[in-house]
Amino acid sequence: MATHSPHKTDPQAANAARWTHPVAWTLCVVTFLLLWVGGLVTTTKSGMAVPDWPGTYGHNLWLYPWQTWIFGPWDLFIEHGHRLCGTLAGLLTIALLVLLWRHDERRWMQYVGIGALVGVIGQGVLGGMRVLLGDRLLAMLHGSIGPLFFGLTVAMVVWTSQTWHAATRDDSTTSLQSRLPLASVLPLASIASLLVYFQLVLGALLRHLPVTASPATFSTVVKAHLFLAAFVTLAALAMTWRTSVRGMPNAVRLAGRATGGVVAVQVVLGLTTWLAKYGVPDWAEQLVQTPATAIIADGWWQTHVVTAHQATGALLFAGVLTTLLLAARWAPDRASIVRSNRANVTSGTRATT
Amino acid sequence: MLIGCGSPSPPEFSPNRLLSIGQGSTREQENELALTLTDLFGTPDQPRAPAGTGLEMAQLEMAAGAVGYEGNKPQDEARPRGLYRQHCAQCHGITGDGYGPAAAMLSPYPRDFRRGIYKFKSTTRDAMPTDNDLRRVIVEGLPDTAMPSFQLLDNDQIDALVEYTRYLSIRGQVERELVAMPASEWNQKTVEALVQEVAKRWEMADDRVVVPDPDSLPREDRTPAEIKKSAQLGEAIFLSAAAKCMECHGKTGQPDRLTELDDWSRENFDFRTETAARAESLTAERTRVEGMAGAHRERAEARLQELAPPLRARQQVVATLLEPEYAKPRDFSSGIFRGGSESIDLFRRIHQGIPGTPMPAHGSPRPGVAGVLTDQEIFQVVDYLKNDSKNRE
Repeated sequence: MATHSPHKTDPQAANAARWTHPVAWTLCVVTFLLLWVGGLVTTTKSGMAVPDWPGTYGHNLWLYPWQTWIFGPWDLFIEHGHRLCGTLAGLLTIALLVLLWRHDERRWMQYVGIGALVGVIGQGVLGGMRVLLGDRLLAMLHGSIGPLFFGLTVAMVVWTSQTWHAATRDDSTTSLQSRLPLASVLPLASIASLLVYFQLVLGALLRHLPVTASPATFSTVVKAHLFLAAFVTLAALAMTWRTSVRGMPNAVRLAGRATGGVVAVQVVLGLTTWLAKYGVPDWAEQLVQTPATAIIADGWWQTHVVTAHQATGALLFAGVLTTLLLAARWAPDRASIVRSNRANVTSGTRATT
Repeated sequence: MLIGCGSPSPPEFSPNRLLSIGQGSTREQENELALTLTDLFGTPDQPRAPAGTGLEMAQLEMAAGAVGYEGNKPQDEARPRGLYRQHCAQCHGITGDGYGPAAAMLSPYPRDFRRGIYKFKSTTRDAMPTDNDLRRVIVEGLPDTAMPSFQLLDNDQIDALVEYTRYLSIRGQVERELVAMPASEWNQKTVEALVQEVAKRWEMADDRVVVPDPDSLPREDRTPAEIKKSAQLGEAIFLSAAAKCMECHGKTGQPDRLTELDDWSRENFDFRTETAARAESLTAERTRVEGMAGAHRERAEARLQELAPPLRARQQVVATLLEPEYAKPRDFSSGIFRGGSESIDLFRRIHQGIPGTPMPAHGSPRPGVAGVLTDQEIFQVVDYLKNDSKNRE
């Protein structure tokens, strides 16, 4: 079996990773929490619970009385919590940027750090403008850009990891042969990433449609969301299947499997979201037992299932993106593939002779 | 402004164009009607309670407008705002016309409040619901529909939503009556009288609650054998030709055919049918005119030009309508009764029927007049339905 043992890591890179990788991970986790709480803001319609920005009811964001935050109205708790979480993500982004400039010698990575800072500030301002203008379009944009920033933090985790530093393109024939399947993972992961992101945007659109939108508009978006869900599922599962072939680097296989698991959870959550929000549709009454009592609006079950569906969508985006980045790291380039094919033809000809 | 976004324009009440176009109102009449309604009822952001309606302004203000807090303060004394938009408008629409964004995806469609017809209530078929009826639906929701239970809201918030629902209904009913009234009769006096008349129907709701004959009420200490006996009698009534239950619900309580429309879909269906007939007639007329010549043709073409704009207006309305939906008789095998499963709920359902639907009244329409079934017989059917659904669970 072909191996992909890590090559000796550059000591400087290893040193940089020791500093940057944990912070990148922390930023990634905090951003996921931020997305989850942001989802709660939308689910509970708490976006306008605090009418001013960047302060909270005239107080500095960090100095807002914690008793009012914790023991006050639920929507205030969620919205102010989202803001606090956002500033924590901002501070972590600054810390990561400083560490990247101090320890990571890759110039492009340093610029990625700057990009992340611009991203987190931009996203914060967008959220603030959404509050000040009370505009649903801005809310939708804010909801669509959130997963992009989360994707960037996931990419930064990958790019600062030992696995990334250790992976090299060993073009020896044996290694090349085993890495050829990666060439087919790349397009699948790229397509899956694009589809998942479009799906997230559609989800944000659905969640932020104004109450004045027509039933036809809402139905169209729901149908598009369902239609795209089928393609997302197929693309993600196809990608998972391609990453499970023999000889695939462990990291790629692991990312592929995790993505397959997340997509399964997400499909279940999608169906459950509809049930939790609007009940059992007529066509499904033979499949799902209709509860004898009505759904409880804004109850624990409804709130968290709907929010989990949104957050898991972002997690799915993280999965396909990670697979894409890792596959791209290991995949042989086109010239190597051509050389390999030629070598195969030559050896085949000799054998025949 | 950032990416072209300014302050979003405030939502407005939608006119009931199906009604006004159907009545042949001109654009000017529609505009005048809109102005009159705004004078009377205000806007979704700034509602008004017309004199004599008894609507509580404080409660309307709590339910109306954008989501937030009074004075933009979340302190204990601050009251939430925009409750209707936060909790109801997604399905029922800003106007309460049942055309919220999610409406087309739901079955049954969300209720159109504008007719003042509510399916599940304690009052007689043609009466308005009581505040308690509306409150109950909001608090308990309607099982097997998308109408959720808002039991987590505070009492004053529920009260505000009840009041706002009443407000939207009264507004819609006044609109309906004004459309039906010849424009020449519109003046401040007639409009005020109309509002008072509609409001009075709501005031009288408490007096129109259906109360069963005390002698017919099932005793609370009945033995299982007595209940079984009553259920058997109820089954016989259910299956009888006189009660006609089977015609819609089937012999086993599992309906197998949908043939009738409810009142909301009927209006929609009739409007579509009439529009399609007019379009067909206009096309035929055009073909006929093409074969004409001279002055006859000119006159006919002028007539065609007069007919085309009203047809276009009708077609524009049709394009916005939900698909008409057949009324679905309750499937008793599910054991779920949307309007409540207490004996008194089912009694009232059978006694008065379900307003707006083909489910007819079986009880006495007024004192001294016999209904299809006596109160006692209705309670026997109730026992059968409750017993039967329990046995199937």
